[in-house]
Amino acid sequence: MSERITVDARGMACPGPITKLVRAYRKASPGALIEVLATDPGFKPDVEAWAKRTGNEIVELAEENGVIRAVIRVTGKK
Amino acid sequence: MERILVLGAGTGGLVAANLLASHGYPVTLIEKRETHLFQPGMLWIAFQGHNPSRYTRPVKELVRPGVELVHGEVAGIDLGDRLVRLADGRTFTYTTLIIALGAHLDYDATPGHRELVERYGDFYSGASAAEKMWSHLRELTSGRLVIAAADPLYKCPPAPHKAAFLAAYTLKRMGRLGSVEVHLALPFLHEYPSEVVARIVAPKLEDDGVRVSTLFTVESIDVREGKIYSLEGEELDFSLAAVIPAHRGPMIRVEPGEVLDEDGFIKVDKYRLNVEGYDDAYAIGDSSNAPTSKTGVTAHLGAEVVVDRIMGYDSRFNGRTNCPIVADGTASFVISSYGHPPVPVKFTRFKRMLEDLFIASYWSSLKYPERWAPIFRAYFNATDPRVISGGW
Amino acid sequence: MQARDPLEMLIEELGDPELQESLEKMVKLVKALNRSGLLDVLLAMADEEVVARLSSMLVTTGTMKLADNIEELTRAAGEVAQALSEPVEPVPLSELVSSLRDPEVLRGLARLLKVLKALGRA
Repeated sequence: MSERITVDARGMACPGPITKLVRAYRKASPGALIEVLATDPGFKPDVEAWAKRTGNEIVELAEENGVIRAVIRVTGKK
Repeated sequence: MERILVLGAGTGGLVAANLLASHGYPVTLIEKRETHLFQPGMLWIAFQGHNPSRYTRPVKELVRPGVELVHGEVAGIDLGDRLVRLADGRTFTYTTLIIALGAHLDYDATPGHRELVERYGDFYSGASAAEKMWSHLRELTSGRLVIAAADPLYKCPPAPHKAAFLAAYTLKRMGRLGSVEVHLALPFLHEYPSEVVARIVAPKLEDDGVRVSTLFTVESIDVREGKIYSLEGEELDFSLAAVIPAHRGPMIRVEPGEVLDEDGFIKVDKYRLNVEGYDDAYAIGDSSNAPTSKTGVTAHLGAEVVVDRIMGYDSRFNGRTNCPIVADGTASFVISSYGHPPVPVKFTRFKRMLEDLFIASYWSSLKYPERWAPIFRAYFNATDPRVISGGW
Repeated sequence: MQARDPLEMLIEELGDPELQESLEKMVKLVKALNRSGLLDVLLAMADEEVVARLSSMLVTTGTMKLADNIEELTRAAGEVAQALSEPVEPVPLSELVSSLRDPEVLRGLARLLKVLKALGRA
C-alpha cells in the first residue's frame, strides 16, 4: 500500500491550490499518491500543466458538484 | 481596567497603536527591536546600493504620546486567560489583543540556505544582510545572479521580480549586463502567480534582460559548488544568489494551539480579523492566515479595520492588495481583493511616481495614520479592482 | 554611553552659520506667507474633512487613468495642434474617398470610434 496524502484546497483562489500541492509534493516520497480537492476552476489546467512539467502522473482528474479532485502519483522524484 | 495590547511594531502594529492612541484608548505596544525597518527598502539597499539609514527609524520616534512602548520579546499568548508572556518572564493582561508579530523566516527549512545568507546576504533578513548582498553585487563582473524562492508562499509576491529588475538596471549602468546574467527562478507555473499579471510582467522582464525559469522551487543549495537544486528536479549554477526563505507564523507559544494553522499562522475571520473563536483578540498582517498577500498595505488596511471594530463600527477587511512592481523608471501594481483576482495594470511612469509618493509618505503614515486615511481611501476606491476590472 | 541633552545639542547646532542662514530665510518665507494670507488658507485646509473631500474629488478612477495616459494624450494633442496650424484646402468628395485608403487615416478613424464608444459608456 503506497503512501497517500490528501490536500484540501477547497475555497482557495488561484494560486492557493497549486501552492498546497507543491508543499505536499515536497514531503511526499516517490510512488506516493497526492489527492487534491479544489474549487478554483483554474486548478484543472494548472494541475495538468504542473504534472506535465514536473514529470508526475495524473491518475485521476474529475469534477463533481463544483469540486475538482485530482490524484497524482509521485513519479517525478528520484 | 481597559488595556489594549498590541504585539509587534511593524507596519500593522504601529498603525493600530497610533490610531488607537489618537482616539484616546490606553494602548501598550510590545516590540523586541529598537529600530523599525521599511522592508521594501531592503531591495533598494541590496540592488541599488541605497544607504540603509533611509529605511530605518528608531521605534520610539514612531509612536505617539499615549502609546506605552515596552521593549521585550513576546514568548507566549494565552487567549483563554487573556495573558501575554515575555521571554524575560514579564506578563501582561489585556482586555483586547492585537497580534501583529509578522512572519518567521525559516532559513533552516532548506539545506545550505543559512550558509548562503551568511556568505552573500539577501533582501529578506535585514538591512545589514541587504548591504552584504550589495557589496557582492558591485563586485560581480561575470557569471550568474540567481533570485529564487524556497516556497511559493512568501511576503510581497513581486519582491523577486523587483529584485531582478533593480539588479538588471544596476548591472546595465555598470555595463555588465550581458557578462552577468540575471536569472529569476520562480516557484510558479507562470512568470507571476496570477496569469493576468504574468502576461504584463513577462515581456517587461525580457525587455530588461532578465532570464526566467518557472516551476523552480528551491530544494537545496550547495554554496561551495555554486549550485541550486529545485524540488522539480532542475539545477542552476550561480555566482551570486539570493533565495527567499520559507515563511512560518510567529515563533511563539499560543494557547489554545487550535488557533494556529499548519504553518503556525494565526487563524482569523478573513473579514473581521478576530482570532477564530475569540472576539477580544485580533491578528493582522503577515502573522494571520487571511487569504491575501502578505504585504505592508494589507497590514496597514487590516489595522484600520481592527481599530474601527474596537471603536464599535462594523468595518470589514476586503483583502485589498496594492503590491508595486518597480522596473526601470516605470511601475505596475498588483491590485486584487477577496473574490477579485488581479486586474491587468500596465507599467507606466505615473505609477512609478505614485510608488515614490507612497514610499515618501511611509513614516508619516505610520505615525499619523488618520491624517492619511482619507487620501488612501480615495486612492483605494478609485482603483478598486471591481471598478478597474478592464485594466489600468 | 549617556544620552546627550537635546537642548545642549540644539545650542551647538545654532552655532552653525549654514543653519543661521537657513533660519533667516525660513523666517522671511513664513512672514511673506502670512502677509499674503496664504498661511490662513493652509491652516483652514489642514482640516480632516476638507482633506477627505479634496482627495475624493481629485483622486478618482478618471484622474488615475488620465494621469496614467498623460504622455500619450499630450503627444496626440501635440500632433493635432501641429496639423491644425498647417494650411488646408477644401477636399473634394472623390479625394475624401481615396484618402480613406491611407493607413494613418484608417488608424485615426479606428481610434475615433473607440473614443466614441468610451464616450457612450461614460
